Amino acid sequence: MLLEVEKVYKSYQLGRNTIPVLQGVDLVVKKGEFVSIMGTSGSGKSTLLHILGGLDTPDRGSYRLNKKDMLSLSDDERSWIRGHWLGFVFQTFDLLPEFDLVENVSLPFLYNSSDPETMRKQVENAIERVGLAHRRRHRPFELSGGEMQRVAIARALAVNPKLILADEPTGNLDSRSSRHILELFQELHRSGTAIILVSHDEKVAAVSERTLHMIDGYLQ
Amino acid sequence: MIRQGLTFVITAYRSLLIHKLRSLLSVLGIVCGVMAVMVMISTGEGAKEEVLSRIERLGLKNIYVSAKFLSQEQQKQVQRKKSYGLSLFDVDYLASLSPMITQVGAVQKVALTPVGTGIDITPNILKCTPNYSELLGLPLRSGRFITVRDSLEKRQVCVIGAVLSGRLGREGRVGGLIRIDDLLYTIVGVLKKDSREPAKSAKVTNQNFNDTIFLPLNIPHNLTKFGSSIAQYSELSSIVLEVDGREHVESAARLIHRAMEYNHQGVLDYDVIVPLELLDQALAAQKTFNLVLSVIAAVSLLVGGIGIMNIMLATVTERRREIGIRRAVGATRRDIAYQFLAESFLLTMCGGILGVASGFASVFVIETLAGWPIEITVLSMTVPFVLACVTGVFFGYYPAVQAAKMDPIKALRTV
Ligand SMILES: Nc1ncnc2c1ncn2[C@@H]1O[C@H](COP(=O)(O)OP(=O)(O)O)[C@@H](O)[C@H]1O
Ligand SMILES: [Mg+2]
Repeated sequence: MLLEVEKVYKSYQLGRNTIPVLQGVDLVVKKGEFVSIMGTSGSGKSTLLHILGGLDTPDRGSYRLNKKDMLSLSDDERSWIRGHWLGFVFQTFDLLPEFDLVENVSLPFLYNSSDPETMRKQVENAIERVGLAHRRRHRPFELSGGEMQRVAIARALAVNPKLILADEPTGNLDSRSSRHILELFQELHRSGTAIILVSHDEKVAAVSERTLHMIDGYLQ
Repeated sequence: MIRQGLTFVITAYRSLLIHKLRSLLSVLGIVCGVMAVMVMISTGEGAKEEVLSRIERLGLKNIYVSAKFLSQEQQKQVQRKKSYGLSLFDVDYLASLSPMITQVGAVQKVALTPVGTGIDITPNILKCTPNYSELLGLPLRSGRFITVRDSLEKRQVCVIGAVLSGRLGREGRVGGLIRIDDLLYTIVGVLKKDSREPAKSAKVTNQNFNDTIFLPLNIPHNLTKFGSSIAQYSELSSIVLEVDGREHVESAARLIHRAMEYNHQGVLDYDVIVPLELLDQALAAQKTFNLVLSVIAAVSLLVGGIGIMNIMLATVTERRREIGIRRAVGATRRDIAYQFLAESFLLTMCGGILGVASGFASVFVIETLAGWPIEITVLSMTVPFVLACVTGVFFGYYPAVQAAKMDPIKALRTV
């Protein structure tokens, strides 16, 4: 098992009101599996993804990633896990505007102990896999939305992660670019990377092996 | 680690470039502070040197009593009160005043010009007592200085300064002759060249003696002893008194003041100049100047530091999303802190460089406008620069910690 989530609860406090978001989420993902999670806006998909990435902690429950108890780790240890095992892809691409494509893809290596040669190879490889080798020295504002998202995927890919967490990766893209991005995810899946893809768009779910629905704070 | 540090600096550099004007403005206070510190250190060193050399030349164990020009009103008073200016009577009186006073010398400026020297400078002619060279520490290059016998026997001899000697050529050596006012004087000594520049300050009028002719002052007795005959009226330019130790200068000066007041019946036709006091005054003035500059520097650096802090806090808020992304790809809190610390450090370092550059400029402006001697040393550049960098780290610390403490979730939820 790559990932085991059991009875995870998370609620937010807004003034005097408690907003329950996750109410006992159970999730098991095998190595190399492609899982998509559907749910309406505000159903708690991003919250779950942040917990899976060790950026947020649940109120209750247990979460093991690659046999590590994520909830008992320190902040620095979780940072290490994000930098070595995980890759994030966000809806808004989130590239650093003052850096070119290669530098953006190299970003995780800034916080990673790999040697420069490995870094160079993996970065080049990732850029090639998303098909942007010819735009290496371009800056984000010179790219289209679809291309920017491909750079973001390359960035997530560069460290050879065990799991890619994608939060509405096609949310800001037109249908053609979306199709392209989804094909890219399928290809990554075929090469052995586990993917959890979150979206409110039912079409997106079609590319995954398994689809779960977030309803009333549960996964079904 | 090195790669990371380098990337931090590059990141910082680029983010500064994006906000060129903003960065420049935020760093202005640092620039001023560095400039002030640099001016302070440079002028401090230069001025100290000048002041010390001026006053040292006067002799720190000496006290001068010099004649002062009087207004017409004052002159009437003088006649009523029978004060005859600075005279040999004063010399005698002061010499017997206290055992603290070990030597008394006198000098009289002579308004004559030498004839037939064929040179374009007008040498100063001073009639002085034999101990004058010892009192002022004037070393001889050749020959001897004026002696007691020269004075007593009214010999027609003179001692000349090195530059004058050079200009006179063959005639400017020991044994040569100089004609002054129809009288021929034999050169018996030549002084060593004084390489120090003549002082610019008006209060401390001590030119060097490179083009001076010293003649014997006609005295009826040896001045270091109490003499028998007293000259009734003989205007002197100044009297030099040597005190047996620096610790006695102050009390000796008080004695001299009182004695002169008594002698001249309260007519202030003289000045008492105490080089040691001048030194203290000069150092005190220097201290005040330094204090003012220190305050300016401190305030500038403080304001500059707050400017840095302000801009860095703004940057941290502006780049929340970026902080979230960096955390998502594996940055620890410490990584984030270092990144922002590097940025404020780089910012102030640029300010430091600009400050040193403008410090150079202002130092030269001060040098030419105020005519102060100024010395730029390695110290006067590194101290303000390091100070700026320390300020950057100090005031960049809080924003860096704020950036590091930021909850990655909150950072990622801001758009
Ligand atoms: N910091 C917060 N404080 C209060 N409520 C929050 C906070 N973050 C998220 N929420 C709420 O939690 C719910 C789930 O949010 P989210 O996980 O972003 O949903 P999704 O990604 O499925 O749209 C939403 O109702 C949102 O308003
Ligand atoms: Mg969401």
